[in-house]
Amino acid sequence: MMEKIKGMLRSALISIKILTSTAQGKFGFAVVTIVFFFAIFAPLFPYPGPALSDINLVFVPPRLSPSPWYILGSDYLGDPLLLDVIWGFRYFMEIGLVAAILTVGIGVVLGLVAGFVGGLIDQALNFVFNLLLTIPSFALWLILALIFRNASPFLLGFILGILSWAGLARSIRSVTLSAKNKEYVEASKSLGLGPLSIIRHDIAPAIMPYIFMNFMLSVNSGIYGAMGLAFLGILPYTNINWGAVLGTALYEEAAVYTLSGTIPVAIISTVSTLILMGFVFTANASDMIFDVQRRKEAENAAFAKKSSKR
Amino acid sequence: MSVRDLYVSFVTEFGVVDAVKGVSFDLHRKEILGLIGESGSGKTTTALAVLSLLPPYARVKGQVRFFGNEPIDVLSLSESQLYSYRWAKVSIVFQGAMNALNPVLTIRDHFVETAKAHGISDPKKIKELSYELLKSVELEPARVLRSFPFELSGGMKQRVMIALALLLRPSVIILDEPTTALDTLTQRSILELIKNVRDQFETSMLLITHDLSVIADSADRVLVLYNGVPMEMAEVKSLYYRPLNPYTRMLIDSFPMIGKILKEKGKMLKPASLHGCPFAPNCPLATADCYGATMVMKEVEKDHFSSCIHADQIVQEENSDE
Amino acid sequence: MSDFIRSSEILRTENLTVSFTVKKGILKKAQLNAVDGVSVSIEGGTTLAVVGESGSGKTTFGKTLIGLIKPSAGAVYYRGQNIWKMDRKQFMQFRMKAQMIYQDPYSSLNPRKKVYDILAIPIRVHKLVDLEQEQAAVYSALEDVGLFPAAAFAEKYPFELSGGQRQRVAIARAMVLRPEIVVADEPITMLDASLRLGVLDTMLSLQKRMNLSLLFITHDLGMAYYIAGTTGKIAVIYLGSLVEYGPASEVLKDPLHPYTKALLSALPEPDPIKSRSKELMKLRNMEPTDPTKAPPGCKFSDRCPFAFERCYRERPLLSDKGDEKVACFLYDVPGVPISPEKPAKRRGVPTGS
Repeated sequence: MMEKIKGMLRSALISIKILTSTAQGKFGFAVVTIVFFFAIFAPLFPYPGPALSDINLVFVPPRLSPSPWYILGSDYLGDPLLLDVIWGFRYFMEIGLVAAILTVGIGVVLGLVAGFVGGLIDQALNFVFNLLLTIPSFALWLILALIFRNASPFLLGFILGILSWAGLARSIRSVTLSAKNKEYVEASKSLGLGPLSIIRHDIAPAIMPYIFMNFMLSVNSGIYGAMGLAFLGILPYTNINWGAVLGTALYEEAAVYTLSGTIPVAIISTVSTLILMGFVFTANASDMIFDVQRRKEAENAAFAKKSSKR
Repeated sequence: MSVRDLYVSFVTEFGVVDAVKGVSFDLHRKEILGLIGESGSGKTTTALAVLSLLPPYARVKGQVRFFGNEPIDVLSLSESQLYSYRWAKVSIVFQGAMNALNPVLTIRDHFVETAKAHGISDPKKIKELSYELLKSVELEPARVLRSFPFELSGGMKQRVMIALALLLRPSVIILDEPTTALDTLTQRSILELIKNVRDQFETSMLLITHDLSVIADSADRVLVLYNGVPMEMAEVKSLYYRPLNPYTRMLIDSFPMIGKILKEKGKMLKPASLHGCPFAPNCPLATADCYGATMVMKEVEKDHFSSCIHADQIVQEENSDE
Repeated sequence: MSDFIRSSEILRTENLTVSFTVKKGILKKAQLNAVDGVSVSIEGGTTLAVVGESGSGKTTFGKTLIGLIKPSAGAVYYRGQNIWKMDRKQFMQFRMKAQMIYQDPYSSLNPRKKVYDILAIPIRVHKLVDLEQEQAAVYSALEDVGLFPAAAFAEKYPFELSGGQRQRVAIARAMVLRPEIVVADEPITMLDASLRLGVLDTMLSLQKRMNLSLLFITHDLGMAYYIAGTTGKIAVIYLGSLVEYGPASEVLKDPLHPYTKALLSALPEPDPIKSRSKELMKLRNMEPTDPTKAPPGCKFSDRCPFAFERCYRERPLLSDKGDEKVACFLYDVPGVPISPEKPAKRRGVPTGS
């Protein structure tokens, strides 16, 4: 048991090493780490709620009074923008993760089933995939968001993820199909390995890159969706949803024309762009993690270092 | 033509790979020279060097001379000079050439394209030429010219490639693995064809293969390569009956034949040595010197060259057996 | 070659047929028999070499023999039992007893798995040994195929191995479940000449040690003899049909069927003197026939130099001639007339008998 855990840790370390071997990968990894850090440790910071709101401090530019939290200025409620940003990480991560887990979970399972089982089931599932792909997702989000007016982040993530798995399912299906026809899969069959074993050993490694990348990108689209809906005013305003801050800055504070409006827009845009870029870069760089030759090289390098230390 | 001290290295991101290490040979008129070696032996690279077709990251040293009306130093030709050298003086049938045919063009289109590329544009002349060439490779001209590549069998496509190689009546044709991927019966008939073409057109041929039986059937002289190093060169019968290099001996012994007895348990070959003689790790005659030796072909017997430093020892053993 | 089931007989096929539908043109479809009524029998510990060129259906035959493909007609019997009439448990047991070694060492191993896992997973899934003994079992399998030191090879990925080494891993994988029958589909054709005999000898010595039945598929008659030796049998297949079948020494010493004679005359020969003095048997057409355009009677009749009228109209049956079986009218074997409804598409008209 200990051996297994040690092995998994080692393998995770190697993955990180490979990921951070390029500039893109380093940036992405840094962003993801920071985001998760704040998402987890946000409760250590004060919540930008009614306790802190001050109507006199609406959209003020950065300042250090009444408290250093106002270093980035404030939002439409007079709460410090910095705290919005920190708590926003948590908010968006929740949405993003729920959306991603849902998308990837359903997409992979259905794609695998369609590709592996084939026949009528495959044809039926294919029909469903294509049908769902024709539904304009944004319109659907609008409608669902209006129905569930008081959506919690969890529910929001659910809505955003529930219908976006069709594209992934199609890709997974074709990867499964091509993996299924490989000679070593036939060899596994004749060795008496059942379908579960074949999926686990022969097909899963082929679809892992897709899963990882799509996960990253699903988180992104969850963030986009949530920000967008808040920006348009569809969702009830919470100041930790940066879209809301963006929206109010634009419409109520006439951003671009006034300094007090432009600053929050600039800050929010920068932060959200950096996060989205970070996840995309991680997705790009993750391709290398699954390349067997790279892994072997990294393993060898690590081994060489260890033995030279002795 | 003659090749002297050919060295080819490829500069890659992993370092320098020496593909050809000091190959020299002469190719006489109407002669079929067999170049035998396993994958990675440098035989295809040598052929490409003869045509000066190596990629820009290849470092070539040595001399390739073609003796037409006057001697030509191939490796120093300019791009435009090479244009009139390739296909006109030396042509090539690549490995897996049958897959090189464009699937959406008919065979006639192939002939027309190739002819036009080399300055023949008169449609009547092209037709005459294509008929003549296809007949000489034992194909029915009218039917084949009309066909698309997928309508022809592997053997027929190979014959078409040979016909195309003959278009400008070159003095030398290089054939790289002309019989792999063909059925046994077709293989033998292609080899017959190659010999007939040599007789009919008086071309010299460089026959590259890994298969000893191809050499036995068609080659006049043979050059054995291993890991870029020339191991032995001799007339084909001398090579087979009196191999003066343990590597050649091993190649001959590896050929399964009717009547061969099961030898010792399947031993795995150790990888070739990068210094000195590449066969040293597996050679029964190897000594410590072999690992540092400079591999140079010496004329051990008349017209029989070997780079093995123990060749004399082998000669002694052979003589004492008689 | 008697009809009753011998107690030592492991595998037998009766009129095994595998057909595919092939599109011919826009609307027409044709039935193509990749394997056409083949009947052979293999005894425990013996070798059967199946010789045929590309397109002869030999690979399909091999896969059908071990249950990877379901036959369209005919049957495969394992120890007297029809494998497609077995219940699930028996069939799985049969599957494990019959393994395959593939032709291409570059695509038959999972590129993302270490050699250790490739061999260990089947052992684990079938719970053949305890976890502690698993490593020992994997290492000994590697040593059996000549991969020393086993510990080093076990940690390698396929991309780090040469073609010959990969094939040895493939052999080890086939042996790990202690099979009774192994089908080897041209296992050394894609290897360098210097590696071939080594891998072949490994296979043969394993066969002897484990008393395996070996079905060796090849296009090379010389290889077939090397493998089948003095005790094995050779089956020559042409376009899916069995044309000659008998003890290896007989078939090679005195080939009966014209196709076998042609193959023998085209046998690759490394000796230059012998090679040039050998007369290649001239067939009426040196190119292999398109299987969808094969003559309705004997499939070889459009190329056979000895063909007469009957050969086009009737299909010869496999019949005894001494110790061998042959399907050719030259030997006065019974034939099956082809019904007049079948379109008689043939190349050229037969020129008398």
